[in-house]
Amino acid sequence: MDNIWKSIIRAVFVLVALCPVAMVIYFALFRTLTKDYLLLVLGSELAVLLFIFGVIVLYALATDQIKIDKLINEPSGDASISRFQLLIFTFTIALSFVYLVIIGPGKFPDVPNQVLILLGISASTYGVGKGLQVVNGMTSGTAQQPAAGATDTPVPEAKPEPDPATTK
Amino acid sequence: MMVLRAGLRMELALLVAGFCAVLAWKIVRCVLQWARRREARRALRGGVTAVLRLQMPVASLLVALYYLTRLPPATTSGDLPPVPGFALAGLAGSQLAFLAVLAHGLLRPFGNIRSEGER
Repeated sequence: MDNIWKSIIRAVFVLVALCPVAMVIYFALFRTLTKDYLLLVLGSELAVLLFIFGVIVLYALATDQIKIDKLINEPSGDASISRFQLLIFTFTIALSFVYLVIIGPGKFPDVPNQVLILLGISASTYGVGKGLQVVNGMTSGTAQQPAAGATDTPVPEAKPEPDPATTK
Repeated sequence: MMVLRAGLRMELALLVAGFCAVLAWKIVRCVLQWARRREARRALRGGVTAVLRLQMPVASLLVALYYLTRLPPATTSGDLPPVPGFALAGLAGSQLAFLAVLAHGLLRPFGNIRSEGER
């Protein structure tokens, strides 16, 4: 299955590479080769190449060849709430930006100060949380095995140990 | 050139939609993995600290959704809409509370003092 995909990708690359040559020859022989035509060919070529790169990355993400499963996890596998909120705000602002570029008047959108403050708050929380975890690992000497509460995962309160005197 | 511009916009929209779909699928899978863990289910029944930890993602999601609702009217100007002050203040308070609980859970200042005295 992998070989088939690799062959298809190679064939597409070859086609994309040959396309501008064929188009330039066509325009040179049968039409007047102008700067506009060349720009059109170059733009189309870049667009197709970028699309193919994007599709390859998406395919690799979907099939776990590029692993992003730990994107919002701690290295220990616990949930990381601070990473999650940073991801939410980063993608909200980034997608808003892309949306305005696609739908809007076509100019580069201005970024208000409040949006920068929002991203700053979010990133600072992640940074401070990570710093606290590092400080905790350094002071307690348990960097390899983090203590309970050393991640920002919700951790339940520890149950009290039964007293051996009363259990006898 | 108009055709190329329209094609580029469609291509960008397709790639972004595909990326969002893959990312959402991965995040949902991560969240389901957390929910299956026994510790997470016990923590959700926890006390004040669990509530103070879990309010932060909820507040973040609410602010993000509120921001997205302000986006369609901003298409005419083409600039990103500003975040209102109350949303910023609420978010900052929420994250401060989260950090305070995190610091308490990690450093346990009173517990550390007692354990040093016992040594």
